[in-house]
Amino acid sequence: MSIALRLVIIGLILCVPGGLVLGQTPCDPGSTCDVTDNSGSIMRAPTRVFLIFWLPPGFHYDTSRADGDTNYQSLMSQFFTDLSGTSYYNILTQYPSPCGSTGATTQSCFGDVQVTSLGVDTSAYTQFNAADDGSAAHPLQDSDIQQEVLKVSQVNSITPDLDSEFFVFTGRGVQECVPSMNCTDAGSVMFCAYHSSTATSAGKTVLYAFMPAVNALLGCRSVSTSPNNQVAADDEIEVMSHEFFESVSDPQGSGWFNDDLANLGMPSEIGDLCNFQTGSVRSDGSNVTLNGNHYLVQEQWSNDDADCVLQSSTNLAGPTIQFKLTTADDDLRGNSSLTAQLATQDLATFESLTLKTADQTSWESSSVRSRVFHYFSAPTATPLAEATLELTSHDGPFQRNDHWNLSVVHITLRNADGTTTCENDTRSPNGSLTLLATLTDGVPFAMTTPECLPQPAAQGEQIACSVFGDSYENPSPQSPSGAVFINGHTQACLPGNGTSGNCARWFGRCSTVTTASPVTFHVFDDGYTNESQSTKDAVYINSSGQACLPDGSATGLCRKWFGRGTTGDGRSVSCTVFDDQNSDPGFASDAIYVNKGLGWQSCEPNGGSTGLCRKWFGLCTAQPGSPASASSGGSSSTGSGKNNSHVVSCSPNQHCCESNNAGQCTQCLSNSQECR
Amino acid sequence: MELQKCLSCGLLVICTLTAQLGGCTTERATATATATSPVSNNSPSLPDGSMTRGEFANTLQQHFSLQAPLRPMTFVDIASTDPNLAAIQAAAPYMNGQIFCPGCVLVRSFDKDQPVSRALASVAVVRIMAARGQLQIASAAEADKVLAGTDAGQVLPALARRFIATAVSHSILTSSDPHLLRVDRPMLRSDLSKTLSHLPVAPQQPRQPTS
Repeated sequence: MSIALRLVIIGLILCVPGGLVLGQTPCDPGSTCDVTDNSGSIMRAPTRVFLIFWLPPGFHYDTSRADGDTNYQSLMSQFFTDLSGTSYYNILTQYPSPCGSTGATTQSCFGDVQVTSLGVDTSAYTQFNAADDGSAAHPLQDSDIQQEVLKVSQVNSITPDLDSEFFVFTGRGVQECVPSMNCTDAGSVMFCAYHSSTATSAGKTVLYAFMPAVNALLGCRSVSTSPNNQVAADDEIEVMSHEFFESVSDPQGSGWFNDDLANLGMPSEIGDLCNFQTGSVRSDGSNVTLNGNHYLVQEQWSNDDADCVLQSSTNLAGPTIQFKLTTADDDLRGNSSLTAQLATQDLATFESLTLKTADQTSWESSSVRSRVFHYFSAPTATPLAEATLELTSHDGPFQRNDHWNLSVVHITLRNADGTTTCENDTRSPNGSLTLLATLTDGVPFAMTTPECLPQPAAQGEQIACSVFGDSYENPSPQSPSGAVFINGHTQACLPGNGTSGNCARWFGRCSTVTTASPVTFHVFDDGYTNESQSTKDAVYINSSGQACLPDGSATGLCRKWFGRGTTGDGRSVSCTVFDDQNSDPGFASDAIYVNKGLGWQSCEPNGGSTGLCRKWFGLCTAQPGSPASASSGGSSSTGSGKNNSHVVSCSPNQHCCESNNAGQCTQCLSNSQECR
Repeated sequence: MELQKCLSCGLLVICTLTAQLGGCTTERATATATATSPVSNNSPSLPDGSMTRGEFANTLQQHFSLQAPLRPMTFVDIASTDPNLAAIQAAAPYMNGQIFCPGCVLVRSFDKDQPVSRALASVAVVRIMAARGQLQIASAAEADKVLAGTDAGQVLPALARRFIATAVSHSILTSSDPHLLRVDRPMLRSDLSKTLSHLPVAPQQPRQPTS
């Protein structure tokens, strides 16, 4: 090809008016940029907000009116007071997370915002570092803000926790940098405010936000008409709303944000995705009414709406259903729509939900989308039996019907109070990111949701356990119980003795209630790895939350999980987790771990990163049927006899063919069979 | 007709073609990068002068033929009549500084006359190329290796480290002293021109309709 012809062709390519699309702008502000749950914490209700007004003599927030400083402070406090229970604040209900000792929840994570003004601190800005006076030449540093927070919290005897945040307001014209590259009025990146975290000398996390007087920063103003007759304060509230919503949904950078790498490190938290967007502004300059008062606030990103909103279109008051869908290696095209049909056990469809409309942008490969909807009745009153996903192509010119590869569908039903009713995880047995189904027009994908159906009553024999001290001494005076919880001192506790329970270091000496067959447990790590060689009849939880068996050493043999229990006559044992009054029970599981980070709750595997966690574990049963033996011929651990490490002793009609180092039988065969 | 349009695109297209033929020198690329920028500077466009954010946006848009995003961003200091508006809107998503300031509310001004830092400029180029599948972002472990012993080693947030390491690995961020990346310093026009001169600019093939 001649050079001239190539030039013409390249010219044709490069110079088409408007240019070619050379690659989609990744998650630009007009795209669907859903945030996803990264399994970290969120701030729970009641969320405590502490306001620190750091204003040395000579500095002000606003001099445009006589009461500028005091009115400014009042409005900051009033905003947080007015926020509770509003449709604006309820945008956050679509971003749930495990919420402490009462179980995972959606709405109950968000409720009251309790604000406390800690008054004005008139200490000089140089109090921590003589060089940092807040001027442009000597700006404050992030470390100054952190020390101010720690100082004021200590003076006021406030114990910081992950549900509390300190907002530090500095005077007009005060400059700050974090670190040296990013500053309020200079540097590589200029900012208006930020939220972050630090730690006390004792290692406790402290959440805080730095709030300069943004009205003095050209790129940080948003108010044209002041709804509260104080432009400086209204400018501040707009930026503060951004920071507070991000703090609640992503306090430590591990909660809800969109995938940083897929998004090429561009705006990722729910406030960033709508930075300075205020939507429709009224004539008085406000865009929301909170508790009767008018404010100009920033819109926040809503997965439910695939847009920046001032209130979510989904009414989340009441029961909810959440879909969390993971796309495999083929995207769901931008102009395709996706619906979910929900059906009861008799396959009657009772609700149709639109997960994606044809005008929302594509769901990229290897991405996760979360959608939360109102569930029309109590989940236990109308149990979900089946969900069917259906794709509809809306083909453009030269397009064929869309094909979408799906790898994981995780459905969570929650009660009106936010407690989880059930979680159903559907994925390929070959791994989390392998293909589960390909959807195209006329080829829907239906999945059953067995975890959301009423669980059949346990048919096995019940098991009760005791708690006791070292060397089995000082056993609980209470009778053995089918329920145990771990308290904050890593003790195992049985019901009784008020709310504290009857507690001791060890739990164990469990046995079946009717036949008095002793029960012993293994300990092991994820994937049943590093499993203990033998079972023991006593377990204690160490300070890290590991389950430990006695092995003659000072610490014992410790692993993440305990379980794979067996009865003395070789029956396998399964347990579950639940809350007070046996409420919100999980499902039968042969493995349980204690989650230190979730208030020492007991958790069973459910496909999620933390598992299904509740206050109590127990309701253990020995599975019915004849004791494990090689005669069953199956491939389960108690069936083949080849790898049966869970049998302790054989039943009367069996004999032992293999023993472990502890002298316990690990392979039983019926008396009519010979050992191999 | 189309040829006329092509020529009206400016020197960059010609240079692009020449580069494909192996004849585009660094000096020529330097001249191109500045000549195609409509930003008027108060200071002369010295070869070793700092590149402004406005100049950088124009250079990015032209070099990579960037299109306007679906919902263009607006900036309080960029008027709708500003001749740089289209370039700034096209380049702005890639120039977003959130990666260097996680948790921050970023300003809504573009500050086109402020210098663009070496960090931000190189990350913008990395983003564009990554979005086009022309490079992959370094892993955290790779970033640790690439940035070990450099002045950028400890000052950057975790995710930014991966992007800066990617820029170093692909010679997008260069330095005569490999231990002194000076990420917080302004990007020099000459440095950027050298970088762009060896980067691919040819448009991708039109994407096949996704199935």
